[in-house]
Amino acid sequence: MSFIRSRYINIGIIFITAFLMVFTYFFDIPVLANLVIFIQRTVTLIAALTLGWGAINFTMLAYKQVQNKTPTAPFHVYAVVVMLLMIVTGLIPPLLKSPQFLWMYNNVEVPADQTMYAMLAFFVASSCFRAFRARSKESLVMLVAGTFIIFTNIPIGSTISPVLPMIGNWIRKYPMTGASRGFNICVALGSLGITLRILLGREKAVTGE
Amino acid sequence: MTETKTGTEKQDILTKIENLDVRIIYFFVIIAVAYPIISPLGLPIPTSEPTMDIYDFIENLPEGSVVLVGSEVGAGAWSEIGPSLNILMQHLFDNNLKPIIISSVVDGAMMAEMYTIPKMIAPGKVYGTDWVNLGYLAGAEPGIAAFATQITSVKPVDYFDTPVEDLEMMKNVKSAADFDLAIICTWGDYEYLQYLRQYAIRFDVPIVVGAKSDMIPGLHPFYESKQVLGYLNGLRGAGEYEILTGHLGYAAASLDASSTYHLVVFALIVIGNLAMVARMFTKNKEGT
Repeated sequence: MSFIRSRYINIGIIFITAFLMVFTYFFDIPVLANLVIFIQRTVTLIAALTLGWGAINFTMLAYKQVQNKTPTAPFHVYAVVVMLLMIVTGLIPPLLKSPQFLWMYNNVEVPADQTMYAMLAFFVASSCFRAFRARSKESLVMLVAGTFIIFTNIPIGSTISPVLPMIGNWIRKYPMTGASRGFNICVALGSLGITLRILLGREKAVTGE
Repeated sequence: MTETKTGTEKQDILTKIENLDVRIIYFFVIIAVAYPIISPLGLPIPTSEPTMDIYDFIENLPEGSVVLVGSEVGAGAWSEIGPSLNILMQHLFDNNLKPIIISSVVDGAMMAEMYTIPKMIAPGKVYGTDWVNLGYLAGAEPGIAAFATQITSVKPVDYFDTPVEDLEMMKNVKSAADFDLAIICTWGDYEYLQYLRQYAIRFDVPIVVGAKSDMIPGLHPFYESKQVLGYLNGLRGAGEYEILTGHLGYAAASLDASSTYHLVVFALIVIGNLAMVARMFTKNKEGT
């Protein structure tokens, strides 16, 4: 049993799988490609199963809330009831297309989701008023650049003055692109470092220790 | 130090401005958004370069070209990204191109089926011959990678549970190498980067993106290096595209509201900063 749980088995699986993925990304070898497709299908299956595990986990969490009689327990119970209702109606044939499921999705889920998203407009407006203050030179530069970007993104900007979108596009094309590229390269190099650590078994969390 | 009555009054006004009740802000936001929708202002909408690049590319695609359409957006962001997806799909149908809808977002394909397809003006188009919806693709990037290598390996059936091999359009489409274009309408950075890595780099599939406005700083560098052929900048990009194609719709109608809303936000930022500067002057004056 201790052999199965040995970290070297985990490291071996990770290394071989990752090597196959990277190798077939750059070289087209049919035999290896079929093996990689099998592995990717397995990952897809695992991902689908985790959705189910997420639902079970959520139900267990709600049960603990009810057991501990927390103030938010009724909301957890409501959430679990709604989740089970969607699952049950979704399983009515045809799967995920029954009138009951579609009614709940179109008349509850979609309006609720869009309302949550739409509320951001109010929060953005009030947070802009409170937080966007030029307290330093850097924040002043950010504020000025942000203003030009705002007027580039909205049609009224070019109506007020064609110079506004011209400056905004220049900011987008040069300083913003340069900074974004630098950030993306740093993220990519950091990811490369972490990946090498995982492949070489130096990342303990991944090897199960 | 003695505070004059005028100095105290000024300070009270400053305090009131700095602690402005959010309900007043919300009121002005509601007016700014509602008024142009009820009574449109008709502001001109100039076309930006990234939008024009997408239009030109699709116009130059030969009839019958296969286009992957990634509906990577759920119900929440549908009001911002949905119009981009709708107008791009409409342009594909206008030019007799063949879209294949896929989504790695749980309800993306369902949203496309319920909220995009019914809006299409596509006389004579037949499902299975002129377009296909392959539904939800689980597994995020590994799923997308497997789909790119061999479509039927992870999608043996379509959204309606019809075997993919029975669909007329899919007889000559086996992998991403058979796609002439990939259109990714997405609400997050992660989704279009997946397609960039697995389609654009591995199979040289041209990619265009319908993105939210807050994604543009991260997306624009890919446009500048031509890894992404073009992008639609949220509702603004969708409105520009509606004008280019002549199918005016929700996006073009909403842009007036977007303009007035952002003017209100700009005014709030200016007022907040003026109040801050006025307080600094008041403090300096009291200090001297």
